[in-house]
Amino acid sequence: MPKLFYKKIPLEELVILSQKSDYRALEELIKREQRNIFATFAYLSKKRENVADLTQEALMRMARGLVNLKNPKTFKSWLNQIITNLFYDELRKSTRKPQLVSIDDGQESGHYYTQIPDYRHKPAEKAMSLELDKTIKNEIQSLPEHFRIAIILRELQGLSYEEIASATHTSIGTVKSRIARARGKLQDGLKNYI
Amino acid sequence: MTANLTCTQVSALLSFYIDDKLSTQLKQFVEAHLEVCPTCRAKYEALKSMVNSLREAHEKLATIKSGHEENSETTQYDEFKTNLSAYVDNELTDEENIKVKKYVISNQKARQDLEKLYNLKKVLYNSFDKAKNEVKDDYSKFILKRIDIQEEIYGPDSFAKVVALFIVILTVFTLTAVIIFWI
Repeated sequence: MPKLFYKKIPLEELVILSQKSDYRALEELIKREQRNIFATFAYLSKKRENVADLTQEALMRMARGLVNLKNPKTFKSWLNQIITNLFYDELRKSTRKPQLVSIDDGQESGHYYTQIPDYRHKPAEKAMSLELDKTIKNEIQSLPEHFRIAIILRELQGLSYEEIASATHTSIGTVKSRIARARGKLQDGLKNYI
Repeated sequence: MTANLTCTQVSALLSFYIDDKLSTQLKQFVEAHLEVCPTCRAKYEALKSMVNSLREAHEKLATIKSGHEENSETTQYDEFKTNLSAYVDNELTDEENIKVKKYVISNQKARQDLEKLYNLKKVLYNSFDKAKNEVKDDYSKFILKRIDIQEEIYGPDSFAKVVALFIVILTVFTLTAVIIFWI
């Protein structure tokens, strides 16, 4: 079937085809979801260098686990369950693992590091992004993690409160108050812009 | 009534005296007695300080109460804000929706808060949209390749193939052996 054909298929059918080992459907599905997943992790993860890895891992889990998804209609919330789990996994890891710097870097050219680079500050990258987007990202990333995942799943992924509750293993009431409080905090932080 | 009151009379009047509820004349009589009688004077002091401390306690309680009322007003508004946030997400029941709408119509602060919420949503949406469109990497080929490799090594299909091949070889081998034996 021509490639164009896959581009026009609605998401749900694409999921079903992918489940039947149609690799071109799966390829299209990955193409459709990857930017969304990447952007989600870009807001969720405080470490920029992890975003690409997290995206790949999420896509990998999606591609491999798709066969086990019983109801293709729940694809979106199922995918977000994967994203949420990865996000919490990363949080657990990052609290345990300190930033590593390879001592072998630069060895070939004959000189070693005299100073350890600080990867947390990237002046060039920071200057490149626009001020507002930067502030929004910073504000979201400074939210407590439960608030962060709730507001991202709502605003970026467009999930319902019920879906967010099941993805984060809480009640709808908790989701409701977390989103409201996240919004309150964001409004405070962004009051010069809105 | 004479100017000289007995101690019993004075102690009966003390409470009214403290509350300033006696006639001017009676008040003067009590005052006169208190000046000369140390027992009644002591009684008066004790009662007076008790009443004073009671009054203070009462005032304190009143301030706490009114403060609490203010607090409960703010918690009520916080609750409303939570509902307002759910309102913009279309996550309220019909009844709650109507309540929020009514309140927004009648209350200016609520109206401003609603507008702020919509603004925040818009700003976030634009930012997210931009972030999505900035992503240039394509992982599809890479992921498919990784799956392919994994399935070749561990996949159920390849395992079944190996088993089938083994059985075929075994059968052929046995058949050949049987034929040779017969011959």
